[in-house]
Amino acid sequence: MTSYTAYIASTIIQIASASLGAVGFALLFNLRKNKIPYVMVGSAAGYCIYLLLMHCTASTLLSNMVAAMFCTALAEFYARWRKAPSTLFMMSHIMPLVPGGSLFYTMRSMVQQDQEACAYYGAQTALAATGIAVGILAVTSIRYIIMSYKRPSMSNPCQK
Amino acid sequence: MNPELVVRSALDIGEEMLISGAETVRVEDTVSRICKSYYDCRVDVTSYMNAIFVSMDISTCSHEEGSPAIVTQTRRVLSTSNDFTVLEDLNTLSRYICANHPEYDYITQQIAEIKAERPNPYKLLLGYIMSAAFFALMFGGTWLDAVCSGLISIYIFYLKKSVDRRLDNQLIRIFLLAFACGVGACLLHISPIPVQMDMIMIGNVMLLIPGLALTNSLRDLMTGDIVSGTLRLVNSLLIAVFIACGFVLSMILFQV
Repeated sequence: MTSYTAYIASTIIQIASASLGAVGFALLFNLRKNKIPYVMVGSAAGYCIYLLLMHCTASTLLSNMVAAMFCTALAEFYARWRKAPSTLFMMSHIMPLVPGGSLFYTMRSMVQQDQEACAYYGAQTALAATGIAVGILAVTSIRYIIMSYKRPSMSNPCQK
Repeated sequence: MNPELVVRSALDIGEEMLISGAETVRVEDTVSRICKSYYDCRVDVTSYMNAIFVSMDISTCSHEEGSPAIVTQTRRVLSTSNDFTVLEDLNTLSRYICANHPEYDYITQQIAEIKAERPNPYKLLLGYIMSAAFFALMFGGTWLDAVCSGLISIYIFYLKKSVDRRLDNQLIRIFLLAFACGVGACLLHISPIPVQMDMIMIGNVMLLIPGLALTNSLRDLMTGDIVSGTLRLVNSLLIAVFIACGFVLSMILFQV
């Protein structure tokens, strides 16, 4: 029972630190202060989904893809609601998912001539980055399709 | 407004967007929309990671006598960073331009005002400390590792400021910063403080490593923007190699 509690506690710490780390990046990107709470919620929820899927399926590609899809969809929602470009929210939301750590380990093992580790981390990096990119693209494409049905002029408000 | 000034003001906005870290698709879209809102004609915009090309063919639409039939202008952007406040303001400005067609002087003045608003350095510093500390914690470090990682990031923040002023080669700058990070982590490792060197490194690496750029490059490639995607991909892999070299060099020096 105690190990179970410890597991829950460590997971909560991980999610909270992912969320606060994303807030750190939002500050670094000079995001306006009034948008910080949205980043906190979005990145925590995105990372939560990632951890859950990683626990259930153990697939780096799938977990990253679904989490990125959620993050992008939430960013699109925030963008409509708060009237700001969706990129601002999206970039901050996906920050905890971005394979910075494994990219570093890939290159470090490459420089240290550790072929096996390099191949492993390289594959992890490629899978995570591809998963995130596909997730973002999927939501963006769905948005375009919805837009084209909803109001043709919405996709290009400046058209005469 | 005459076509040359239209293209120029559209490019002013596009250039600032690119500098503030907008995706090339967004830049192309904004520039083309602004041009089209003044002249209903064919506009071709191409944007890469560090350049924008615009060609506007006004021969097909109504225009003043004596102005040239085709207006072409290019811009070269030397360095890019991320500034979401500027990006947001430029987005609002470009929407206003499309709807209200203001004069050139107004647009120039607005852009100057947006650029004049510098980010608060303490906000950036807080961002550095928070990301370094909490990502160290997220990757499995202890609270002590997080604190040490945050302390090193303060030093990296000030070092980055002075290095950015003195060196123009991005790769060498990144290499120096990574080396400095590595030295800090190694010093803590050989000191009696019980820290995990890897966790301190990874927290600070997150500040330097182009993970977001790598993801965005793949996104560009999949959207069909092969040139931008390839440029960004190669750039981010090169930066990652130089960061790794910086860290490994410091580890070799301290023999850990």
